[in-house]
Amino acid sequence: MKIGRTIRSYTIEPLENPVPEPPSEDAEQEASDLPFRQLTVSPELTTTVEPRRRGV
Amino acid sequence: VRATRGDDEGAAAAPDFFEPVVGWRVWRVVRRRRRAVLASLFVNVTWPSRAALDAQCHKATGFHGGGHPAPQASCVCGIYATRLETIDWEFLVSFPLLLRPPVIGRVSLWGSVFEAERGWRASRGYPERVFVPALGRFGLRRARRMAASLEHYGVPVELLPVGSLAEVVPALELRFPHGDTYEPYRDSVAA
Repeated sequence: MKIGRTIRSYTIEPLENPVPEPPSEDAEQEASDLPFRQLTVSPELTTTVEPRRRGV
Repeated sequence: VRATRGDDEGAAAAPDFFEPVVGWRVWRVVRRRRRAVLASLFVNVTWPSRAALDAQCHKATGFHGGGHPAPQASCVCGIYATRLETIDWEFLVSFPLLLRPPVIGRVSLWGSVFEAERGWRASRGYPERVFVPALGRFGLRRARRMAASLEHYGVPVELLPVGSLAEVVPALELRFPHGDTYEPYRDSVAA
């Protein structure tokens, strides 16, 4: 890449890091848990279904 | 503001600016340890993910001596960026070692920075945004895969649908009519 003759120099110390932070461990853990998340069902919402008799 | 012509003393006690230069550059995409990574076009350097790239003088092992902190005024070393209109895309895509089409993007540069007539070279850099050219219908799927494989850098990676590689820079110029560089020196003088 030809950028031509140097005309000036300076130093830059960014106040904000230009490099993105690595994904947080919590976010990674949550993402990895997603397919295996245990669903909890409240007991009040459960009901017992009696099997229907056939041919009676 | 300490801004001198060809000053070799890049490091100073107090920085001159607090915002990185944002310019444009072109990368190769190569595979390292089953991962797609950005690589420099002209030297064998891959860009780390989620860590700044630190410049090294690659003349260090040659006849020129080297072994000095990069960049230096008397050398050509450093991490390069330029203005969008300066990129000679047709030359770059004809580069014989390119197995895949290169990608283009903006890069943040900081640390010790040498500003030249048409760009910058600096001691530290990290991609700010990457555009993956998608050449026609058949290139779209390949470009999508490439874009997804570069997401580990944690910066926006976008597809740039074009009919041919020669249209890449004009397409970006349409989208960024002002070039969208950030130039701390120019902008501080303008202010």
